[in-house]
Amino acid sequence: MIAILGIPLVVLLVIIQTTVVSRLNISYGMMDIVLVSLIAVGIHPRSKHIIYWFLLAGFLLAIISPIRLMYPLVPYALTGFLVEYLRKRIWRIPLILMAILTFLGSLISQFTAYLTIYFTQTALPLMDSILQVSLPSITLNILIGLPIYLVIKDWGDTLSPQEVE
Amino acid sequence: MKILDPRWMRVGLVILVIVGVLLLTLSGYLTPALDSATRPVIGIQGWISTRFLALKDLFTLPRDVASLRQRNAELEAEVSRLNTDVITYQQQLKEAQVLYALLDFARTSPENQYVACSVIGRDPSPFLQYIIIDHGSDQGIKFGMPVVTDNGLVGTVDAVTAGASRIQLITDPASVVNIQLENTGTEATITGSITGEIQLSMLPQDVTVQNGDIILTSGLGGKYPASIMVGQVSSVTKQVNSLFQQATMQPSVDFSNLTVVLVITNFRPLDIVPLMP
Repeated sequence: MIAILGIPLVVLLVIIQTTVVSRLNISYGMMDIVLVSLIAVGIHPRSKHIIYWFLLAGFLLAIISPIRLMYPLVPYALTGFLVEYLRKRIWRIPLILMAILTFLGSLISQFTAYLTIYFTQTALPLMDSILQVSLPSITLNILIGLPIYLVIKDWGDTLSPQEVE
Repeated sequence: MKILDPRWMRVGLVILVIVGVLLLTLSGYLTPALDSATRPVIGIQGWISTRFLALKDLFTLPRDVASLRQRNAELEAEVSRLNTDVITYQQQLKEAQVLYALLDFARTSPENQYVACSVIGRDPSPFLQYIIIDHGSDQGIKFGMPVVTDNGLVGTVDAVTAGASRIQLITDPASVVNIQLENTGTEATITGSITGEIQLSMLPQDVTVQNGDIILTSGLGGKYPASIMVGQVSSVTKQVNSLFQQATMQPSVDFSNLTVVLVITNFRPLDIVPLMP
């Protein structure tokens, strides 16, 4: 059931990201609601094939973004693999897992974006990029992670109830 | 004599008494006595009236409450509908004001042809300054066309699909625009940054630049038409041992509140890259 809803959910998240969230900046940072939501879906115990969700989201954002190929397809794919890898190892503490994955995913995303822009478009100042853009963005993602995790968990439990033997 | 008849005497006496009482009443001599006589009557009347009205309310109020509740619900629905209408009209008024301003701007440059487009999104990356508009190649938008508002230059069309386009703002770190200062005619370039601040560069040392100087596009490079308002100089840094002055500018367009933009469709940007040595 969750897998069926995956495509429209990812499309909806991308639309929300580009139309609403991208207008809400703190300092010059921006939260990545698509990445955080997909991480929350990915650490749900009964979610499957989450890597395809990440690839789909990365592909859709790559169409919109002027820096294609590398960003955001690569950071989304890497985060997807990280989710698949880590959720089987620290699944007992989902909130910590959510925070770790959000931090790592955001870090990969920011780092990839910086490198891609640096080598393909213009030389961005490193310290300004870290202090003004990357740190606020990562902080925002971690802050928004908890409420999104709770909503997605509740939603996942409703759509895919645990079987009672 | 008939006039001394006792019957007529009684009639006359009664008439005299009545006339006398009337005269005494009209003259006010009987007011205290009348007040004393009518006060208990008024009290009793009031007591009965209050009880009657209470009894009447007891039987009629439920029906009134039901009708009042229904009326209240109707009025609340009406208020809600009117509030929605007010918000809609305010939005339409705001849009109309923006469109009137754009129309006024378009009339000032009749040689240009414009297509008005709504801003429907922004780039998801915080490092980049791009917007997405709701018009594409189906509406005649092409790569490289300049984008403006009534306040000044916005950017250039960076990518086009059938129904939408992506605009690179002049605040984007990779954006470079050739400009000239209106006062002196000095030519320079402006470059965006990740913070949205715009820097002026290539300003010769011997030129006097002051805060508030108007900045226009120069038309050099063939990417933008000449004489489009860009902004004003906001600060100048002059170092003696430096080749050029440094300055920052305040753009005339509020990029955080872009809702409608105009694409200049009859301007053909030139690609001078093959001519570069």
